[in-house]
Amino acid sequence: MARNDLQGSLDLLILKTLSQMGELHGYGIVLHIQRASDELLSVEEGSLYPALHRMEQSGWIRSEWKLTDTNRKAKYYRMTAAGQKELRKAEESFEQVVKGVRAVLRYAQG
Amino acid sequence: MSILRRITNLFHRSKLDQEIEAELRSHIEMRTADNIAAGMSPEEARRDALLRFGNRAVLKERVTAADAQMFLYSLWQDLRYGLRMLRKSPGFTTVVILTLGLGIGANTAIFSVVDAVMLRPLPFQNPNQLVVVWHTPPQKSFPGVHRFVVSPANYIDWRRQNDVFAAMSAIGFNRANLSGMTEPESVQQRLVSYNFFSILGVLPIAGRTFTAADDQPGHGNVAILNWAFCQAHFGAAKNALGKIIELDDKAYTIIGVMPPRFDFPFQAQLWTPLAWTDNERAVRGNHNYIVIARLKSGADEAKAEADMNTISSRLAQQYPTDDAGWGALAGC
Repeated sequence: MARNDLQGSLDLLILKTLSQMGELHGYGIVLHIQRASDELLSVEEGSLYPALHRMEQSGWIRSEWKLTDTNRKAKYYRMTAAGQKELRKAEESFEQVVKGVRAVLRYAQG
Repeated sequence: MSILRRITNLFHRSKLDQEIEAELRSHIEMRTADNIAAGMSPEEARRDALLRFGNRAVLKERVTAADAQMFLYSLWQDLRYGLRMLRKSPGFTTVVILTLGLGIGANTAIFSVVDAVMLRPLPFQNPNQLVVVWHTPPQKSFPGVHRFVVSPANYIDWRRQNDVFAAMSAIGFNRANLSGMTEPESVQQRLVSYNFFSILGVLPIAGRTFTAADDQPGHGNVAILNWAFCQAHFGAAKNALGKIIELDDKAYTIIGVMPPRFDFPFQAQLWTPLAWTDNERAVRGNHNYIVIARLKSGADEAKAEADMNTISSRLAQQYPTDDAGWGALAGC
């Protein structure tokens, strides 16, 4: 359960990033999450690639080798329709978890 | 879902490895370049980029391991889904199970028949030439009986006078007491003419079969073993050769072992020569032997029957007391 939740939140971050940015390579995803979260979240780079690979195998994202602005070869990821659906599901379940955790915290405080 | 792709990935590990390697390298280069832009020295920049990744070989393993893990997981999911669906519709499940059961059963049954009839040949040479020759008894004494065993004297006359058989052999049946082994035992003994095995065209896997000399009165103290019997008592066939066994308190030397599965006729465990004495050969009115024969090439069962009828009527005239009304029949 806990493991799935952690994995789930990384998936959510990646999918959300791709939905906002359109197309990004792995390094770009790491930078975006870091920047967008005001440096609060830093994706462990060792976890990113297994997750990307798994999501690609599940058909949520698609990849393509391209040249970067600085003429470097990189693998760019883009979200698929299945990914869109997955993102909605992940967002909903994340909201649920947040609501639940918040309720518990409030109870403890009160 | 791309199960197929995941399976192909398992077989194309090196290609996948290369692609992951390239992707990780590109990531590290970008991080290094950014680090340098942020003011680090090139060495420092690269070191930092690598450190963030940890062990690259391990990481590569983790990326590919995601494949196998997902494959197994989805397989398990499919299986559970299948079972759930089957449980939901017991009628369908019953039909499926019955269909599978009948299918497998029918296949097994058919294969057993095919195996016995077609794949495993009869253990005899040219079996279509082999016939059993029966007495047909007088219907007054044996109403409804059309096949009867044969007496020694009639068998000998048939053998001498016929024109259709290349060879004939008589077979006597006995349940013998086997002693002299670890435990006394009752065994299926067959007493046969010396040419019994050559008529069937079966060769021993060890030792020899009977010769005409073995079939002479007083010389019949030799035995040939069935393979399973040999295995049970002596192990390898060569261990049995030359050993002495006692059947009904008479000693026999083992001279041969037949190949596996040969136990003709009727679960024979060992064979010994008939070695009839003159008195035994003269018995005409006592019928105790099965007779088998191999047809001459060119002769068929109809021709054999005609020839045997001629001989039978001649014998009936010659020995009316014993043979009146007794005919013969060649078939199975």
